[in-house]
Amino acid sequence: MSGGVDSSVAAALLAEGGVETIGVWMRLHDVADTYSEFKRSCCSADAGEDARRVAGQLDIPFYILNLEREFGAGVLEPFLAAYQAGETPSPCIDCNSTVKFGALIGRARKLYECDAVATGHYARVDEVDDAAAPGGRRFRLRRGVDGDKDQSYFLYGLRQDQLAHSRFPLGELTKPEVRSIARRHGLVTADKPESQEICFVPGGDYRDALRERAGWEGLPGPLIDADGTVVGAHQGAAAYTVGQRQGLGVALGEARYVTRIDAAANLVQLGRREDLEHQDFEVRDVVFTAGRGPAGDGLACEVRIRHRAEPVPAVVRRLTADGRGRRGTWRVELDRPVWAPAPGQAAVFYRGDEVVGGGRIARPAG
Amino acid sequence: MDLLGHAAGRGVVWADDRANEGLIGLAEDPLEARPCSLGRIAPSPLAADDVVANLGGLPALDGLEHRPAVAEERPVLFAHDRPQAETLALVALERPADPGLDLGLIFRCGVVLHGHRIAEHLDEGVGIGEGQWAEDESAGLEDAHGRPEHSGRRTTICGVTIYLDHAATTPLRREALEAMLPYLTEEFGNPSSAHVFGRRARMALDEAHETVAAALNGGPREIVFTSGGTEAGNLAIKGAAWAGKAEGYRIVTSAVEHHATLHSVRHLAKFGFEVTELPVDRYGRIDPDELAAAVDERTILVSVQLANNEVGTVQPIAELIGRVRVARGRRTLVHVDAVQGAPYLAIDVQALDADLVSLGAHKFEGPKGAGVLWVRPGTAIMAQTHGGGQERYRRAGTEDVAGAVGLATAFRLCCEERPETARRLRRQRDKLRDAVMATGGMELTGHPRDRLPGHLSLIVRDAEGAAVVVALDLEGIAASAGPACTTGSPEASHVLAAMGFPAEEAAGALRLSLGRTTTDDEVAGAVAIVPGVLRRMREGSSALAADPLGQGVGV
Repeated sequence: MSGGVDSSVAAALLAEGGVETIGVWMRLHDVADTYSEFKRSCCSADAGEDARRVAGQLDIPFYILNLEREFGAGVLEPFLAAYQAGETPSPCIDCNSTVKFGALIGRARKLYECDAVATGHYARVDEVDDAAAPGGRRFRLRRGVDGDKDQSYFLYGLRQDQLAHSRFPLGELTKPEVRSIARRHGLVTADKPESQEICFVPGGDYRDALRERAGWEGLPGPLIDADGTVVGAHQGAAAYTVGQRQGLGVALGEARYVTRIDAAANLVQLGRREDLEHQDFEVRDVVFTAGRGPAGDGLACEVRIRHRAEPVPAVVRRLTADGRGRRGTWRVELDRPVWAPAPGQAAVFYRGDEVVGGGRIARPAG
Repeated sequence: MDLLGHAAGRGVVWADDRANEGLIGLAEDPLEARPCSLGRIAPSPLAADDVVANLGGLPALDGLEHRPAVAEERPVLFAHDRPQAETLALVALERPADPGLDLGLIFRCGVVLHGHRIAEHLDEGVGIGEGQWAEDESAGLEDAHGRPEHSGRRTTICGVTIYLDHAATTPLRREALEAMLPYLTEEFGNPSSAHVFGRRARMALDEAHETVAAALNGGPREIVFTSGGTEAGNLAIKGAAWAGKAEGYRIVTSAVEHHATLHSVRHLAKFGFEVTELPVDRYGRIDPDELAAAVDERTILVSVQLANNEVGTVQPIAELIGRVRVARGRRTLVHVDAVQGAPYLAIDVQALDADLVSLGAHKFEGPKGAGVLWVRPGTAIMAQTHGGGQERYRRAGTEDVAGAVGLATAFRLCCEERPETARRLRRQRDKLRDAVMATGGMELTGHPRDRLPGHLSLIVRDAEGAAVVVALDLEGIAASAGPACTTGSPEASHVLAAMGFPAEEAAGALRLSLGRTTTDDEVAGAVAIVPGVLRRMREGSSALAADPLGQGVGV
């Protein structure tokens, strides 16, 4: 229970349906110790108090679990490392894979004899017959019914064993329905606004997190144009994201966007909007939800390169097989170009409303 | 009615042979399944038909029927007689795998009223046996609302959480509540008022001073009522420090004090006072020699606790104070934080030879929001709240008459019963301690003998105390990982750190604290439940340590 309306209603629906429900608010980082008079964050102490209040209204047990260590290892460290490597991290995906449906499922099952972890994600999981699966059954991860809210993109990393112990009570609902259920229950979170920020970056500027948590000091370096001309200086490669237009500090007539970040060379390259159109790119650390890749070396599917982006028909082809401790790299060949696939962000493979797998967009070679 | 077993928070099996018929059922909410009229029995989570279908087919259960309970349309199963009800209970307990029944839960814990318990049989998967039915009816222990009578021997209700966190707080005892009620209602006067309402309130407040003073062997004018132990300690420390500033600036305390003390002295340190936090030994005790060495001619205050809240260790208080007196006479004031110790250790302020003693009412079944600072006559302290002249100018603000009355009543009774209470608690605590230690992987903390009688503190190796507390709560045991004041914060215990425990060991700290109202049944219930939970937590935690991010959560 994050203290938002979605997880509040997820808990309400479970409890109402006779499921023995235990409310948990995860204390994940030090921002969680502050109140909103000083810093605003979806995971601040205020949010924990809202979650506690809702659990009280639902008359379910409620606990604060400290998962700071796990969040640090599974989310924060990769987040800081990604920016410093010139990539754009996806902390929510890591949090789902390693904390909510990783560490928390582990605790729920091994310490408290619970069957599953439920969240307020707009996604669906079900079990279907699959002759090729062990035991003839496998779990499917599907988009939430509410197309605007669908959060399946953030869940692509869940394995079969994780899906088996995950519940998404909001999967069949729309956001207005969720709000109305919250109001019907009189939950204090019923009209709480959405939070979109990264929970451990209360001010909204991830560079603050880099400075405070990784001791990052922006080392200025060259800002080069598409043709290699130096057109200015950047404030440290980690401060930029592919596709970024604002805050570049250059005026070159036509609008310029960040097209490439080379952290090793401390170099940020710009280009025109059309330079960011890509019809194919590589995806590393690819996982398949069914626990095994497609039969051949290619798969026709739809690929989504960011949350709420329209999935684009594509063929994904295996470039390298899974290796020791490392997942394979696949090549995505889209039917039509997409704009600004950012290295480090997830590319998720769908077939219809089912998530079949995904990985992280790789940096282009060279 | 007899409760046959329960799974805390999940359901109970109960039977009732009132009116010459056996009755068994499942109640969803254990709170609703307490001895009461049939009409208050909670609905079964199962359709009664399903229960009959699941249990049917056994000859002994022929004729089993279900029908709505008397007062409300809720399904209950009626056996024809007591033997049939017993059989039903046995079947239910022996068939945990029955679909829809989910009685496997019942195997995990179980207590029966009045000392008869099935708990020890549960591990073997055996249900109730001969002689385990309660012989005495519990009806006489109910009050008018069907709730168990609140008496010295509180009725243990299966399915209700067993409260083992008396170091955090205790229930308000009935006598205190009753003494308070008039002062919360018709006797609402302000003790400072000149009229009859004021006089009545003043009378009650005066008597509360006298009662507390008598229990401490002090005088009524030496008693300052406060809003609790924390305020009493703050007033003692800050009040003595500021009043003594002309004489010196040094304050000596120990590293294992309550935060009310440590944060007060650290606050004073910002204003020029010098604070020495004495180290303690492995058991949490201050060395009198080190105290004597720390006290010099600039030391105006020594603040030490009588007993520690986290680990239960009792300080060698007489020797500590004696050493201060030898070195400094009365030029150095001594504050004794007796908040945790007073409920269980007799305090005679004359014999103790302290200058300031603080108490908190809710640790001895008084109300929360009420405390006492005893001040030796002639001791200068500077008020920390300013306003009216209440409590002899030492604590401004209209007095909480009801709180003072409740505190005085509870403290008087506490002191009268203390020897007997302490004896019983020691016996109960030792029983629980032996059961817990038999599980292995546990390390007791605090002093093995010089400790509070009902206080059991330990380290569960390889586990996190906070996680253990959650698991225990889910199984119907209310315990604590450390002081209630710091629950939820990630910091390791400063007490265990001072005692030399590294943070990773201290993380496993668990405290089970018994109180005057703890019954033998509750201890038996805890003995049945706690060791299994601790074992599971150790095994589970080790598994998690190997896979912290759940990369193999298992299907």
